[in-house]
Amino acid sequence: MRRWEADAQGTRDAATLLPVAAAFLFLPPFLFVFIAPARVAGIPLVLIYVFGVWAAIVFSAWLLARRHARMAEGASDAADAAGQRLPGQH
Amino acid sequence: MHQANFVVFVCITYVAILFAVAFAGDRRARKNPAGLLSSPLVYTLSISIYCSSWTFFGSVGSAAKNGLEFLTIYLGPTIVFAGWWLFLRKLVTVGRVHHTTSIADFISARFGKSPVLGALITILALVAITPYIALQLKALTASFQVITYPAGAVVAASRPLEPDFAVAFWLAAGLCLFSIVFGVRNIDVNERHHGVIAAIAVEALVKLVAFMAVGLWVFFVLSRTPDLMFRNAPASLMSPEEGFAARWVALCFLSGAAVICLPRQFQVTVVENSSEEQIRTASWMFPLYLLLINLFVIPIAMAGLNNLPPGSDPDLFVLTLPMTNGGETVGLLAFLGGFSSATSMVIVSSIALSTMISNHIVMPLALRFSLVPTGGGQSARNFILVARRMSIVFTIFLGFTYFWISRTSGALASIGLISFCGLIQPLPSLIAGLYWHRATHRGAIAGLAAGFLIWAYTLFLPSFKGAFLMSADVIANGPFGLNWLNPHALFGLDAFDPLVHALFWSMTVNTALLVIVSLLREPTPLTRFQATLFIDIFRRQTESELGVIRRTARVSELRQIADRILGPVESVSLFDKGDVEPAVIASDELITLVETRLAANVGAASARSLVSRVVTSETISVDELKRLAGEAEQIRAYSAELESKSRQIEATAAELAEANDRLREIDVQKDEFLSQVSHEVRTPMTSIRSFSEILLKNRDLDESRKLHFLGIIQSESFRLTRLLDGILDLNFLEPGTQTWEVTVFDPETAIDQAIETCEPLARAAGVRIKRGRRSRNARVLGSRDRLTQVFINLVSNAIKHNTSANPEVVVTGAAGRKGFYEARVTDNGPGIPLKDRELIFTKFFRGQKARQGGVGLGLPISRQIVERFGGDLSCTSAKTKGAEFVVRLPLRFD
Repeated sequence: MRRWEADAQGTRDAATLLPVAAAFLFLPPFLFVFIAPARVAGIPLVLIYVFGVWAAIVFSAWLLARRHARMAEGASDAADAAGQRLPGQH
Repeated sequence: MHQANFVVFVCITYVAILFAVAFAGDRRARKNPAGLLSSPLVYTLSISIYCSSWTFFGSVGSAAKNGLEFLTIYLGPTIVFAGWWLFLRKLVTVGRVHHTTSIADFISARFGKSPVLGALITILALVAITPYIALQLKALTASFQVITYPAGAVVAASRPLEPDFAVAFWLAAGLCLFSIVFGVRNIDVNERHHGVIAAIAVEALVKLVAFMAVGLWVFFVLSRTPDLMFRNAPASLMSPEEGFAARWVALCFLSGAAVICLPRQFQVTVVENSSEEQIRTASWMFPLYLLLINLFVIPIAMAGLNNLPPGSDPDLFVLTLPMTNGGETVGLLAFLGGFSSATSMVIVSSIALSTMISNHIVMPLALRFSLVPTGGGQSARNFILVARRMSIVFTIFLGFTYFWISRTSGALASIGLISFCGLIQPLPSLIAGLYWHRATHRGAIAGLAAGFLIWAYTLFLPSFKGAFLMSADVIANGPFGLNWLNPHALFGLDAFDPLVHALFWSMTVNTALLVIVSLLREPTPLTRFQATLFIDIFRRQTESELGVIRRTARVSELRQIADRILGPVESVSLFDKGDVEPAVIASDELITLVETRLAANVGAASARSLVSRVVTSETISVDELKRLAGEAEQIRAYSAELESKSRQIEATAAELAEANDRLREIDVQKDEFLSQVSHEVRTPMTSIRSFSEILLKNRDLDESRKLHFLGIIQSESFRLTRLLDGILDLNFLEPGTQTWEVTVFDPETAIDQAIETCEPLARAAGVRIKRGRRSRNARVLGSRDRLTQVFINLVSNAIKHNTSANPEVVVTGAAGRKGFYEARVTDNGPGIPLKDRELIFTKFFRGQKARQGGVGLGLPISRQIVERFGGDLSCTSAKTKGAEFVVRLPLRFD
């Protein structure tokens, strides 16, 4: 039970952090670091950076969504169990 | 080139497939509402109408001209969706729970069901979206013309083509037809359109596949290596230009806001949403879709710059590249992709707008001027349906007219951005509506109106470049030569480009007015109530919300309205619940229910005005409202209480487990004791029986032997009696069985008597009894005989179990602290192990070493006696060695 709560808190924190991190990585001034006349394997660095971060965000969001899904299941299970234990509750 | 007839045939086939999909989707959804069409995948694909033809054609154009900038349009939504937990989740949940029909309905419902607010947002959306729809029509027409141009696509794309308005007209007509057939077939409680959504999802897949096909084709056929591809890359791709940062941040904000506020996005994200799972999945799948569709934008743009003659329209690279290099099939696929992206956008936008127009403009006006037919049957429903159908035609043909008049010369992207900037004006009201209780409808109206006017003044009107309302001179120098009113540099702010400038001023003034005007006046009770419903959406739902608004209305009149708007079927389900005696006056619950259903059909503001016509009195209890607001606080307290309760339960469970262990232990002891008792009883009984048999059979025994045997029989009988007495004593002491004579006496006399009784036993065992300190004038309440019994028991135990070489027993008595008398019986024997110190007081406990004579009842009986007198008996360890028993009794002072 306690473990589950800690997990839920962690997931909520991560869900809050993700868009902040995404905004930081996608916006100037940090973005300027990568807008440079440099190429990696012939491709401008900034393209690799933006699409790389993008993919990382999609992946993180996917991981988070999975945890949220498990959390939602856990919560509804807990609610079911509570409902069975306390039939008088609304 | 493709033959025009062939292209038309392909389009019609494709549209026929879409019709089939939409038709099947509608049927399937009716049979199984929770099926595939409600799946997160279809939901996500429907959200991707965000990628209109502006993405499909315009991204490449923008990339060719401005480098990276097109990415901002997709990075904003990526951030918003990845951060769904912060905002989208709440928005979507409120929309789902309150059956919101559009963004205008959402905001008007939140701010006290204000009709003005709904109408304002509708007008704003209509004005801002018209150029956007024109843009889609232009893209459709242009792509059709390019792909069928007799002289080849390149020639078509490199000279300014006169738009073919006949094509545009028929396209617009086709779009109207589709939207009407599947978008406004009926008015639905949830305003969900499964058929349309199914078709949109298919189109989303087609456009993604088409764009990626073009991208792969370009990469493998034209570019081959990255070095070749980026040969002529524009400088902006490698180094930031002047004003890049401001524009980048502004566009990210703009697109992030647009993915929430655009009427079509609100429609697919909020109105069509049916579960949290959908938005949860979309949180990663939609960014993934955006990532995939953007992956090849730059390669296509670069290949266009490298391979097509200078002067070609970069907005059409997606089509012209394959068409000129032998990829006619890929070109046709690209055309279909563009067709999909434009049509899906127009269809959903027109449906969303038609709902807004009919709910927030037509219905309120019709109600005001009593234009809604009052005839029976379906007439009112039909009125609404017709209003919606007309609205669709109106919206689409407004776009067509705009296209026709302006001949949309500007590049696709710039028109899209102008439109975006107008459409996101509801954002401050939306956010305040979900998080700020004090926000009022006056604040929202002031903010929205100001934002709208500033947008029109600084961005929309100047975009006509002097052709409409605002002259070129005003755009350049400000009205009446007042340069500080220059539309592109208000108050001399000329550091930004027009878009950033307009976005900054409109959002700033919008937000500031919203906050300031809201603070000037208290929100109305209804606004406050709606605010509570919206803002505290995640708290426990309670029935008490019903108690806030008290209204009275006649059931018959209420039913009349429901019949007219909802239709007889739904009305019957609302009113005929098997009640034996239909009430004359409707309950608050019924009125609220009817209003909710009506709101799902005609919007919250119209529903309220409909219901208000038959409501004879209405009061909103301010006390109830305050209580509701306080409820969120209560729930926090409630959950804290639950936590502490659960801790208590854990503690109780631990105690119970402990008690259970103790019970088991006692049970084992009891069994042992019973066998011991049987044994103890059996031994004397056996000897009594055998000796009495000997006496009976052998009558000639000599007298002395007879006497000896009789003595044995007698002593064994005594033993039996003692044993039974002990057991009787136990029962005797059970609570509530008896009372004995109670007097006030000196406990020292009981000790003296006990020592006297034990003296022979001590002498026989060679134990010395020492009388230690004694108290003076101590008085306790109880029975002297019983207390004597206790001391005899303690002293004789001390004698019997003393295995010391020089055994002695010390008995002291003292009037101790806190009004208690304390007597101690101390020996110098082996002592009692710590773990047994409580156990020896349990009945039947007999220590580890078998002890002769004792039955394991002495100590428990003694403790019960002492406790009867209000004292206690405990075992501590002596200061040196051995055991020490302490008898504490309350002193009597009278």
